[in-house]
Amino acid sequence: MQQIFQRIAWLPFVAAAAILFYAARDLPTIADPNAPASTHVSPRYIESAVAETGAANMVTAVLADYRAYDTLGETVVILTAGLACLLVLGAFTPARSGPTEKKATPYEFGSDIVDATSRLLIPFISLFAFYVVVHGHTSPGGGFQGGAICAAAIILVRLVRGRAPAFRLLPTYTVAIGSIGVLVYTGTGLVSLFFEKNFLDYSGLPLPFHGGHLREMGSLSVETGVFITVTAVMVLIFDVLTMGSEE
Amino acid sequence: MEAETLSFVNYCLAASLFLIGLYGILARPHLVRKLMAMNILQVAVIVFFIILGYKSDATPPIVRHGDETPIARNYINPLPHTLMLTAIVVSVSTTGVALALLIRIHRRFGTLDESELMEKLK
Amino acid sequence: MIAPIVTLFLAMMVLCAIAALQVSDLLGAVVIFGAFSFFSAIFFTLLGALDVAFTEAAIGAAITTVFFVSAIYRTHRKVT
Repeated sequence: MQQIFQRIAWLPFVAAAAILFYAARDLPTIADPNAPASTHVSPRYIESAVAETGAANMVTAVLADYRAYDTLGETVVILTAGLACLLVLGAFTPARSGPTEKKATPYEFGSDIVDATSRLLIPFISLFAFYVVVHGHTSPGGGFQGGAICAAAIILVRLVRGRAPAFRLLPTYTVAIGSIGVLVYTGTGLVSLFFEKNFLDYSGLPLPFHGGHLREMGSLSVETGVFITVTAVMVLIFDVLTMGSEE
Repeated sequence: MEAETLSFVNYCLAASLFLIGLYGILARPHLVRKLMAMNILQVAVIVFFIILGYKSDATPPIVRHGDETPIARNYINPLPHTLMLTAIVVSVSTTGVALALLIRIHRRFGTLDESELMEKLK
Repeated sequence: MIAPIVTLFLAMMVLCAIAALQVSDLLGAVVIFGAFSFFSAIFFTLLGALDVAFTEAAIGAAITTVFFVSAIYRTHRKVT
């Protein structure tokens, strides 16, 4: 029975290929400005993004201002993925090693050239990560990109120096930092509730700005929360994946 | 090449990327390869959405410095980009959790090959 | 009218995807997968999606490749 399944396994695959290639003839021409994707909803966002939100980067304006609730859900998804990794591999208790667990060796390169180069690069990488987050309004960037770059800097330190690096973060602290990021995000939304506006409505924040500037500050605080969470969870997943039977 | 044929070729390449990912999930017995194929599947979907949002003679969706009233014809559609940002981050989260599960499976059974796993699970 | 270089990059992405699933050494497959992420980042830049390209380059090349390498380090390296 298994053999028959393996023989005909390519048949539904060919059927799916035929259907997709046949349907591709009816899709709108690429780069057509009158395609349905470009004429119904998006002109409203393109034309009023700067005037209403004060952000020149339309993607950040939609992500952090018009659709801030979806971004809250996404940030919680990232945090949940980090917690799920922690739960599966059990980094709080000493892991039971199975029959084929390799003897955990120290995880470092140990080469002098890589060490010296990384010492030069890491401050610039971290600074660039902060720059990308803060300039998310006027240039390509935002919370996710900055978080990934900062996590890459910290992971670089771990790769070069092994288990006892300069940024010493146990999984306890990393989970706490990730949760603080989500708290910052939700807190920004809840503050508006106290001033008789909707959840995540930035015009209710008690800051001395008006109009577009106020919404810009609101989305900046939200992007900071996203940055903190993304950095912490990426470093947490890396730690959990490389932790051996030793502590 | 006229625009219609070139569009069809591009859509077919994006669809074939999707099908390569699907084939990898179905036909490769090793679990890490299945995971890589799932990632290829996700990137194929992102490619398709970004292709849908493109306009000819338009700039990326960042308002230029002196432009007071942006006209929608001159800027690329920013809505698919927003959705795909979410999709990329969700895909890396899923990959992280799946890799943690794979390490756990390997620690318990000693192998990552699907056929050997089916034998050991009986 | 879309430029033909976009089709070229898409074809190279398809080739990288096929190669990443066929190579028998898992570490080589991960490196080819990193090249696939890089090509997709360039493709997104050519189509004007700057934020998506930035995120894909930062996450695909730096984070996903490191995750895969650390998982392969804990398990086998050469498979069919």
